[in-house]
Amino acid sequence: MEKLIIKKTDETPAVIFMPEKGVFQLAGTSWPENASKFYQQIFDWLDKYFLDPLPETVFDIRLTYFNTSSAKQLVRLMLYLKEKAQQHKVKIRWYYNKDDYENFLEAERYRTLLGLEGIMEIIESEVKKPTG
Amino acid sequence: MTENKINTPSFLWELLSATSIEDLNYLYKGEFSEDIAHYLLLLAEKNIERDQLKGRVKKRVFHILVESVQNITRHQDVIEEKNIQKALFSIQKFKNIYLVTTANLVKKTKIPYLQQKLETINSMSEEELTQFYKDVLIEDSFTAKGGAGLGLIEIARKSGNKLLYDFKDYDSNHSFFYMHTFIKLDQGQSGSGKIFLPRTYSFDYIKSIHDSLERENILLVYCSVFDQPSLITLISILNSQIKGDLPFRKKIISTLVEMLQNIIHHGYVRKDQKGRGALGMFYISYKDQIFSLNTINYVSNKDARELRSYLDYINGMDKNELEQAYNKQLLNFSDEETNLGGLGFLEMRLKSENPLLYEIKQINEFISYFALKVNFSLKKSDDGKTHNKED
Repeated sequence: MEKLIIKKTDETPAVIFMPEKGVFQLAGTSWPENASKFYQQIFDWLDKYFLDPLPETVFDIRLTYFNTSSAKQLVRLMLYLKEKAQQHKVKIRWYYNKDDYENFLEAERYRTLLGLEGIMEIIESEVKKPTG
Repeated sequence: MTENKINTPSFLWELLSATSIEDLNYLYKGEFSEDIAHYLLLLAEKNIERDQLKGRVKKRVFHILVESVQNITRHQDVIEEKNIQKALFSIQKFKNIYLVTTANLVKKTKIPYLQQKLETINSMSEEELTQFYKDVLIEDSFTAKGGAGLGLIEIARKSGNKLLYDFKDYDSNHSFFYMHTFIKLDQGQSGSGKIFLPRTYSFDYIKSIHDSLERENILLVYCSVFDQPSLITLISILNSQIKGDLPFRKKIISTLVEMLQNIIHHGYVRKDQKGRGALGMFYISYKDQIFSLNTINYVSNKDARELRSYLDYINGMDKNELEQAYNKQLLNFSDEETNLGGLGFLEMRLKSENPLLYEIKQINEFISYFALKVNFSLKKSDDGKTHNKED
């Protein structure tokens, strides 16, 4: 499986999907003009990946800022992963900065609203910078 | 529901209506530190880049902007505690002309010296200016205060125009020193006739604007085309300038993003101008412990009606209803393109914890102005947290 690496920009997050290393990371800020276009490439890649996924897939999300149209795409992504979790072992880890309680509340909103209690962990982190 | 309505100062409507899709009106009134100057120039640079000018012309325009800004930071006189938020820096662009205006406080005792220097520069030919520049450069290297006068000579040389200036009384010891520089982009080509400039480009107009900004406590006005690059630049400026803790900054930034993306996505754009972003105005005001983000843009009358009823509807909601509406919209993927930023307005309403104030003014049978004001209270809020005010 080809990895998917999209460099972080001022308006879109870094996407680092490297199955051979077991890394699936979304990190940075997300306020593109057209969020569905940006996130579509992630869904396209995941469709292929889940034909033959790793024994366990752990998604790390570290998003500080995102606009409402990105929020919808994140909801889409988490619902997608929830569906995949019925057949495969999938986990979501949402990291928030400890000074950013609002970000924790956002994560909690998604967890409750989308029924992700079984697969989503919300983790306090002091690390601001995404790795990679 | 009159409590949701605002009265936008008339000079702002005027300024927007005098701005066309290729123009720029960019005003900043406030403290002038090196840091702020950097960001002001960054925003100007982004706008100039959009013009696709030749490298040489772009450099010349930018050079004059830098000198003008530094002219303020170097020579403004400080009145203890009073003069912050008084200086003015504006860049206006109309067709192929840039106009840069600066205003800063100077001691009245300095005026004769300044005036003499300006008149000397204005009386010189291009060759004389070049020689004068060299002389001052050498002279300056021996004096303690470097740069005195060099900036003015540079502005005169690069713009190829006389320096237009004026003074206005501020108090018994200080005056505002106004300076006005025109830069013609097609300079050098012969036969270019005198260009008729709109009233918004006159000296008197800028001076009256300076007064209005002061009166309305407006810190920044950006009136131009809104697109993703200008949004990103505005965010970086605000992110660096807003004082306060991270949650407060995030609220402001998130709201700004939604407001400007609403203009980009839903602002009215004439058919022949599609694909270039939408014309609008963004401004920041600060009054009585209220920090406000404001936008004005054009919308179709149909959209104006929908906006009115939608905003009245969500302004009437309590926190619980807002949360529910937000969750519902979050899961609604069907109408991303058609709906008028439904989730965006809910976000602004939740983040600001205030009603979304608006004003709609019909222009003709097709379009209206739509003004939106989102207030953030800097007073102690219910949760007991104090937000730092801008100092």
